[in-house]
Amino acid sequence: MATRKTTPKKTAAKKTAAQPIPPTPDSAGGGPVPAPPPISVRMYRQGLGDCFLIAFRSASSKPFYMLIDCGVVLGTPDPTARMKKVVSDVAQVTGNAIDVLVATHEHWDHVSGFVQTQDLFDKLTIRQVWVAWTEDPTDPLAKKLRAERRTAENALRMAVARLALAGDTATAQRVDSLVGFFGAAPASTEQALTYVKKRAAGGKPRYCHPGEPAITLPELPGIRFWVLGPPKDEKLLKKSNPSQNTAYGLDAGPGGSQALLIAGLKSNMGAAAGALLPGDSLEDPFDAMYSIPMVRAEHVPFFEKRYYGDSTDGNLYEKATSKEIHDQSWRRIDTSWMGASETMALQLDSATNNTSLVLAIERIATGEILLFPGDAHRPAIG
Amino acid sequence: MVYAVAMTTIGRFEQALGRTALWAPYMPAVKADERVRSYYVQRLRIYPHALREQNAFYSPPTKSLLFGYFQANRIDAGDNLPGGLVFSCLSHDVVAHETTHALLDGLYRYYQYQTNADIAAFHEAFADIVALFQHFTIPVALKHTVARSQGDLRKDNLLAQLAQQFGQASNGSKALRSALAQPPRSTDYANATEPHDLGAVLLAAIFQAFLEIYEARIADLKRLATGGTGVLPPGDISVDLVNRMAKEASTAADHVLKTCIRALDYCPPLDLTFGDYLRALITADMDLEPEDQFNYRTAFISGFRARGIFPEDVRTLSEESLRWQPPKIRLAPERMHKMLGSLDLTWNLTSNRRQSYLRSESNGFLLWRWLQENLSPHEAAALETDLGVYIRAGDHVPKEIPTSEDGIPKLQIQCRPARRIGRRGQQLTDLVVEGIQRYIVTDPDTGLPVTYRGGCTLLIDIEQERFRYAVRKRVGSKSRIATAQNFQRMAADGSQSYFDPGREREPFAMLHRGE
Repeated sequence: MATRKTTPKKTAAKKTAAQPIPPTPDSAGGGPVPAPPPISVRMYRQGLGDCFLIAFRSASSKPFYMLIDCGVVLGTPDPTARMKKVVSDVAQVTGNAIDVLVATHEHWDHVSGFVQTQDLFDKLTIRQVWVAWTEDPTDPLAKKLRAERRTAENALRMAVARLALAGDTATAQRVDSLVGFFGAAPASTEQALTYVKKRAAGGKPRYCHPGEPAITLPELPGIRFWVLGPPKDEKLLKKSNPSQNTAYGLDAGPGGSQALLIAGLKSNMGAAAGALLPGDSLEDPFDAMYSIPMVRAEHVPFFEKRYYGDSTDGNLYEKATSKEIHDQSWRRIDTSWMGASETMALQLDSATNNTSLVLAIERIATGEILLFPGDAHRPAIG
Repeated sequence: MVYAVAMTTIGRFEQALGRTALWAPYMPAVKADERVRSYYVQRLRIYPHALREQNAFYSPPTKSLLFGYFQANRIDAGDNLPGGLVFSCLSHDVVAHETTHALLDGLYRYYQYQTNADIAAFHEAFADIVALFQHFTIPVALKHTVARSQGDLRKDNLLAQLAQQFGQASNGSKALRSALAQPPRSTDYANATEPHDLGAVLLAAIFQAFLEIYEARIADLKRLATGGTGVLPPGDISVDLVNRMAKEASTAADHVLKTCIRALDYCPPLDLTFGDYLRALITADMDLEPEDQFNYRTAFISGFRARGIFPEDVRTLSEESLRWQPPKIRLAPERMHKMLGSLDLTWNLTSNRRQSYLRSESNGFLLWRWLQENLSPHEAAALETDLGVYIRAGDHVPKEIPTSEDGIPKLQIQCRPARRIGRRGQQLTDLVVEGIQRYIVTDPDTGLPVTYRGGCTLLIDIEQERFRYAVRKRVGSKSRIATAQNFQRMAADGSQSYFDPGREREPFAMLHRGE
């Protein structure tokens, strides 16, 4: 989704507007090369997706490069070619070396490039990798959130399949477009982020926590990096709209409010695609002995008369033509229980957005700030 | 359980309205140039275990109620077994709420169309009103509360607790909780823009009216119990007193509920505002209970006024001023007689839903035909002005009104009976005529046609053969169209549009999800 990105920095006096990255010395004509600006931002326009290349004037002759995200949304035509163009340009401008690579969160439109152009990334030297603390495999809350996200994502992919099979294509498409933020195949975004983390020096990326002191780098004496998010509070992570003060549970474990839905989505596809097969676990509302499988119910006279066959009491009557309609199938609710997957998809999407790494880059001399919030919603920013 | 509560709710509606309740007709989707077809639906279907989520909703496409079940949280389960199953179909309030949605939809199909903020909130608010007050009509439910509060239902913690129980059952009621627990402010209505907040304001206004009515009803009991001091002794009050007070509370709830339901017949068929609803409440109450012993009407007016809900185009907030006015046109008595004679008014109030439906539709058509054939141009023009719809063909009909091949503007008319008790206790029946007309405008931004509607509710006294009231929403009114456009725009901007029957297959489902 499109994000309102940064601000042009709050300028004190009119000077240093963000300038384009100057051409590399080889291509300039004669004459002195002007001094590079202190910070410049190149925002790539591959489509709906983020990729920012930030160049800082550094103590050495070569600028300090930071790349924030690299992706384009699922459904963009010819994505690999586009991302190849973007990453080739990055490689050329930076001379095949990035000082800091940042991946804000696990959505396809921010990380697809790490999969689609992995061969080009393999050729780049990457000195540091920064990701949010939610990617830390040793943090218990992070692990819990990631597990929930995986379960929900898988359940939603199943929901899309089952809805489509049952003929409810409208809902299937809507859920599908939301699940698309996790890539076309299961675990695509996870794969991208794993690659990013692997590329850190020594395989150890920096896990950024909000509230820690500002990050300063020896190569950049005049710059401070503030980490403003994601919040460490689970409730804030799951909040999408500040006016709704309810924290919805994406907790897919037993007892979570979505647990039954997810269990239903994951269970085997029955003969009728919308059917729920009875199991023996406590996740079913009634004991198995009280259930009749749908395939059998079709032949029980009671159900056949009232749900499957033609209606026999002349239910529908069109006044204009005095015609009676006996078809009852429009009253079936076979797939209604899967409708909740759309909301679950929205919630999942929101919660993932809120795990965005939020960086504020401060130029100490002038107090100007560049804010890169990823896709975080306002309340999640600390 | 589900069946019992649903039937109770339906019974209450039928008793209040004085006729059999009808369900909304089934209208399958049609292609652009096909005729719209509508089919009578005999029965509402109820699925008590339909969904695996913390939700319950009325489904207009399938004409059924769907209830969900879910697992209680393992860590914070409230009063439930942690990790245990919670069935929303076992909650009286939820079942009553959803059944009310179905009943209201059966009465006014166009209340689903959100043309202003108030009507967007009305479905939910009305369903909450019916569920809440039906809950209170059960004396046993109130006895405990009355005993504990010593009959003072205004005690803050008790109100909040009632709302909380209610809120736990019916989803999305944080707004409700605060609206009932806090004192009213005259800016409440103006400041509420979200449908949930607006709904809470309406419910709080009606609840305040109920409290005032209740207090008026128990005033003599208190005087008797306290010997005139008005101060009850500390500790428990006597069981007899509790019983009497609880009975008064449930009677008050019963009356308030009846008036609220009855008022629907005095509402416009679309684009309702809360101010209109207040006028409908007052008019309905004046018809139901001309002698207002306990000042019910003042209670309603003050409940609305305290929150800044004011009807438009009234001079004062007195009962007489708020009452709807009859149309200005006066047809001669023999003309009225002929008009009513053309209809089949042998109402069979006790039964056969299908007959009622068919008769209501056929009477609508007969009335329309009588108007086409028998009105003089002068009368037709006067009636069109009074009712806000176009009846006969002519150059005065704007091009936005769809017409038949003969140029007659298309107008949907329905008739239904409404019983009331006259001043001397005799039973009277009114004819309620509802007319709806479309107005199709091309949207300047998209170039697509957009349909707006206008209409009117006309109440006719069958005995005296005269028009009693006309409630109009003029078709093509620029201000109403502007309001509708603004509201649609705001709803589209907001991340959560309340529901949109055009887009969503299950508009009521989204109301309660995502909480």
